Amino acid sequence: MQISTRLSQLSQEQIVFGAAVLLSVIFLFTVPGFDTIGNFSQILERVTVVGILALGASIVVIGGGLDLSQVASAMAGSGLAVLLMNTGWPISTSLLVGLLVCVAIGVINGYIIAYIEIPAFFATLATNLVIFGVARVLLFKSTFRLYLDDAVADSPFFVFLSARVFAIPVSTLLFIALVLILYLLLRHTTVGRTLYAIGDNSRTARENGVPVRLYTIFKYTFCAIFGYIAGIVFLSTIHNIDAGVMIGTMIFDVILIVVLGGVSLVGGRGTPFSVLLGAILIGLLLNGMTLLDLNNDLQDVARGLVLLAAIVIDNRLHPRNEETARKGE
Amino acid sequence: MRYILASLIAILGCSASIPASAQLKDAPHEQWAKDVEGKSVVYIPVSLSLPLMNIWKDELEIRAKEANIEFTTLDPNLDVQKQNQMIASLIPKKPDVIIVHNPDRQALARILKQANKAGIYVIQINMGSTYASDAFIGVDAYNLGSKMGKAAAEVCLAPDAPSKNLAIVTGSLVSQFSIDQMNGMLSEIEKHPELNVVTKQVVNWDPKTDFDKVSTIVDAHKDLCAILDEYDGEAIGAARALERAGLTGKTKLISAGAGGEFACKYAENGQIYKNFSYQAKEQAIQFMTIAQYLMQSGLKPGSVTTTIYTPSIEISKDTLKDAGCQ
Repeated sequence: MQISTRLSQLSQEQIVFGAAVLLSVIFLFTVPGFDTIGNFSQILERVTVVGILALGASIVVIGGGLDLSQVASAMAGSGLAVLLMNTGWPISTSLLVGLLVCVAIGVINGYIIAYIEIPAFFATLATNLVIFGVARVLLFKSTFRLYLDDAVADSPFFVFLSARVFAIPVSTLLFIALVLILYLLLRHTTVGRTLYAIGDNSRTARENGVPVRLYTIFKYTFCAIFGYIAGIVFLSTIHNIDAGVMIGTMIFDVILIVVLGGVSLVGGRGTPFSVLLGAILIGLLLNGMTLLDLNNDLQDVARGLVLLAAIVIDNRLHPRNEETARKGE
Repeated sequence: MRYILASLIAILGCSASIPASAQLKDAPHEQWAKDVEGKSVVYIPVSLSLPLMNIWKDELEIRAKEANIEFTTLDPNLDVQKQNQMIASLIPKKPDVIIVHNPDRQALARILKQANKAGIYVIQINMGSTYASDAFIGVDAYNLGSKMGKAAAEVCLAPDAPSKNLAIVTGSLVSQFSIDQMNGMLSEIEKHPELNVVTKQVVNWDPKTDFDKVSTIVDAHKDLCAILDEYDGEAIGAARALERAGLTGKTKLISAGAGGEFACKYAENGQIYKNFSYQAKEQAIQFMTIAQYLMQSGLKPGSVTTTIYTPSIEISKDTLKDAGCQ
């Protein structure tokens, strides 16, 4: 009885942290090759792209929304940047143009949801398909993959982004830096605190004079910007951009990490550290399962079970309020 | 004189405006034009999301245009159900030829039989099915895997090999092509009991997943003598992982794929030690050649079966010239 009471007092972040520590200890004793510095760096590197995407997605989810088009937007912006760089445009200009495309997609998403009042799920599902179609016609014409020219891949920018500092990939350090920046933005600025207020109860926020619609555009734009950064990290890792990713399952991995860490899908709850913890737990799982030689299907089963467990825990920690029919009130 | 010159120019002008095909009046050409020109060919790959199927599509388009064949591509995007429905919806429209890439041996067998019965020629490519239609043309996946396994055994049994441990990366657990190819690899590796397969990973033909998994594997097994990676489209991830681990050339990456410029580049820079190419472009030419043959044959669709295994060639630093890379 006491144990269950104590468990219910724990936050989801604490539970995920505990699970990560427990899993590490189990793997330490059961998985050969797990206890090397290189392997710990692998764990983080493996979830860097999806972790940065999840940071962006968490901004939207904390503010009470959902963006299913984030991965497509990231690949489209990065794909355009690849094309421009390969045709001789300066890297900085190409990256800026790609970024502007993602910003435009974010603004459009926000506008459709805030002003035309289409539910976020349907709006971003539709824009995801539009982005994929347009990208196929304009960017990925006769191929699903855009390769970075060797000269561009060997440029100082991409060499730096794929380098390691004391065995830790620069891209992973970037992920951790983004966690800190986003934490400061969300917890220590008016904008961040307002976003939590909107996510918690948008009607009350509006009645108190908060420009909720503008904030909606803001959060989808930031989500797209984080997505674009993830896209460039993806590019620096394997030197190509894959259109197949736009319609693949990466967006579900993003949502898995967001939910797992404790960013509740009803909004107003969670921090960037929740996302970092969720990413580390998934990284640990994938790493251990690869070293144990488990096949992809079993890995998918494990990921599905973890997501289910996270939703159940979220439900138990934040039960539905019978008066307002909202979870966690 | 001026009159003669003007007449000559007029004649030349007229002949220039006549299509080249119409200028030939020999009997075979007339028969060919009657049987082939204006006919319809529909190409249905498993998905256009992989480079191999795009190479086929591009080449088929070129060949169809040359022969004035009406060419259409339908993309089920890895959805077997959709692929089945696409073929079903084609039956009443009755195109002359369907060129189809099976996802496995069972999924489309019944609908392909129906298409044949409805009077449509069916050419199955790279992956056969339990139904033998008019033609199967493609690479022998088992043989391809055997070549890869043999190459791995060679490098791993060499005196300077870092160890006798190797890893296998495959595209899918359920694709019959992957299963056949894997069996081919293992048939050669198992001839040498001293060779040890430390891991078999599945990466869903995704280079990023390949990168992630191979990065983890080579960190745990730094002494691998070879990695057998089923498909070069995904193996670029493994190549990058080896490069980042400083193992390019030490751990030999052996793969297979569509060939072309891409394969040449990776062989030339040593990132893929040996790549067994089934020459997708040449395969597509053969697909269209068989399609034209069937249209002219007068055979009843489904009455005769032809099987053609297309050759695969080795692309490596040593064979760049022979493989047409230089």
